[in-house]
Amino acid sequence: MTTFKELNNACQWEDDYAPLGQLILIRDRAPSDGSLFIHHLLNSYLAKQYKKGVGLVSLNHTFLHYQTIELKLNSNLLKEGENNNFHFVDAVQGLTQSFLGEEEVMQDNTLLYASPVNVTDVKKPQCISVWKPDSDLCESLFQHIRKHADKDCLIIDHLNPLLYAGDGGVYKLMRKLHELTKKENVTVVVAIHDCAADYRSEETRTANFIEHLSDITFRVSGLPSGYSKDVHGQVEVVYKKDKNTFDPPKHVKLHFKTMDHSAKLFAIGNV
Amino acid sequence: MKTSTFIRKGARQQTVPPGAKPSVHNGQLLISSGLRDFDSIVGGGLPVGSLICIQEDRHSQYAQNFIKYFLSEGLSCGHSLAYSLSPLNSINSFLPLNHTERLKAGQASVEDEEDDAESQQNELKIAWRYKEFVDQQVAAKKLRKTTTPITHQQKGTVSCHEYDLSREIQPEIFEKHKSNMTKLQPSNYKALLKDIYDRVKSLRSDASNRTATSILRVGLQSIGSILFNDNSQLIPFLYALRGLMRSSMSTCVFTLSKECISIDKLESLRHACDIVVDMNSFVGADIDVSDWEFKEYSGLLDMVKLPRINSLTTNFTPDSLNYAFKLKRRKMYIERLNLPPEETREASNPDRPKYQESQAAKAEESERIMRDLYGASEDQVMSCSGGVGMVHHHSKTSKIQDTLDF
Repeated sequence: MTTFKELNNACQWEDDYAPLGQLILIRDRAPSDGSLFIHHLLNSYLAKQYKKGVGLVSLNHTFLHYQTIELKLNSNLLKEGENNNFHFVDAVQGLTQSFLGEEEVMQDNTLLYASPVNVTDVKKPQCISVWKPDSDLCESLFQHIRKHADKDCLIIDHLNPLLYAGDGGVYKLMRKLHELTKKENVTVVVAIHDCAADYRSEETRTANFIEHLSDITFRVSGLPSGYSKDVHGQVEVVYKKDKNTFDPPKHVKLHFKTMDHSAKLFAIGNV
Repeated sequence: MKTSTFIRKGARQQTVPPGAKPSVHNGQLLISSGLRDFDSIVGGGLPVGSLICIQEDRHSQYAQNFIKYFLSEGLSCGHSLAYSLSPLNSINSFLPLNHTERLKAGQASVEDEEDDAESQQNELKIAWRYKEFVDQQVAAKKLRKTTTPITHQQKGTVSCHEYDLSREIQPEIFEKHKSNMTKLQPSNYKALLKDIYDRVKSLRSDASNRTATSILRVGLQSIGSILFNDNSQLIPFLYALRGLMRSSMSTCVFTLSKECISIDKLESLRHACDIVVDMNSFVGADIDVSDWEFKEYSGLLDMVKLPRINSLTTNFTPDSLNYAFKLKRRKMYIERLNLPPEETREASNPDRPKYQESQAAKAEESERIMRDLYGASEDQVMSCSGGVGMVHHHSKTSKIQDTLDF
């Protein structure tokens, strides 16, 4: 994907860089948003055309959101789904269902995958499955992923709603996902919103825990100088070259600007 | 400007519910918040399916106006409403008067005109030669009001009605739309979500019919206050509520009692919302702003989070995220916060009395610091603060110099 060429260049990655068997963490802090890196990785793995394809678990947005953006980035999730190269797990409704304790909450609602402007005559795409939680949220989500989204790359956007599941469910889930990366050579991408105000918060502790396990980390944050119209934030890419050596992790810091159809990453001070 | 009436053959007709409009940026369906200034700073309107958090000012004096505008606009557009207000508020006294309907009905009162005339007279004490020009402008304004009630339409912004916060809603409008309103009576967050869910479910069958009532507006006042006894459930509640909004033609605006919530929790719950606005009023903040550049405003408004639905970036890129609001007699205004150029500020202008006062205050403060720190006599203090020469004699006094410089 040419949009993120600067990022790949800075990190000395190939243009079609999409490694397998990695745990990749995207941790963002308000007011910035790391969703552009989710789309970058989603696009990269779809373009790479691995055998099993990509699975996207969304606890944040509906399918329509991702489809709209991916269309702008020259990728069609519906077509990829038809080719069995993509699967979408809608976990947003599961959160509502879990909180209400209802049996079924809006499971077949067309608004989950169609625009409110065009809700009529839309059939549910085959590549979407809706997660139905039970008493153990994280475990049931993991089981659902294994059943429906057994792919080469698994993207989870984002982990924060599961932090309130209790009993350290998120930690267990992350351990299991980490095992997947090593045993089955699956790449797992996890996004989490970090809390800048308090380093003892659950968000920060979980983000630190995952960063410790991860191979590549994208730390996305706003500019220290405050809001800017031309630079929307900064990203620090931390990647561990080889865990068997004592080489320190490599850091690359870039500024970025997101636009409707693309994103621009550039060296600091080089707008 | 001429607009083309050409429609492509075979193009799918888009049916948009009343009071809604697709965004020019990403096609997302938008509804108005009822306050045109606010619509324009969030990218044209509030996205359907979103969750909007207004962090209350100290006394919740101004934040509640957002709920008033939001619910009233829903009523005017024929949308369904579900609301939870603080126990002191009743819905009919809470909703403001629909000024647009009033103008349409030709009920523009005599007192409105009197107010206008009075204000003109007050304004024209000095620039009396421009009276004719101003009269023309006022006449043109009145003409616009009578012909097109909704004026000042910005490109891409959803149209909205005008409201008069100083008066209660017209009884006939209230009675007409009473059946579309549902009062939520929460005892806890779970019960509240259940009530909203039931309302969404009942409207769900209407969604395909594209009736006005298929859009649901949910207004919740003072979430997170002590009236809700299980605040540990607040963030899961918001995530669940957002999921519910996404799967329905609903939009929720709630005000948040930020004083009752810790900072880290506040940041966490911002992630669960699509738009976050922070309001800080000058009232109750122990700040006297009468001499400030902000004296015409009632408080500051910061856009903490802008919507990113169906888009990689925000709907539009604003020049600034800092705004100020003011409440005039009838209406609330939001304006971009502009400080005057540095040299024109009171504090940095040596000719202004305020500058002299601040210098005197500074000198007094430095004297006090030295007295407290070193117990120096008054003469020594005066000589230290007056000239630099003496200060250099002792290391002790060089520290004082640092303090003064600072």
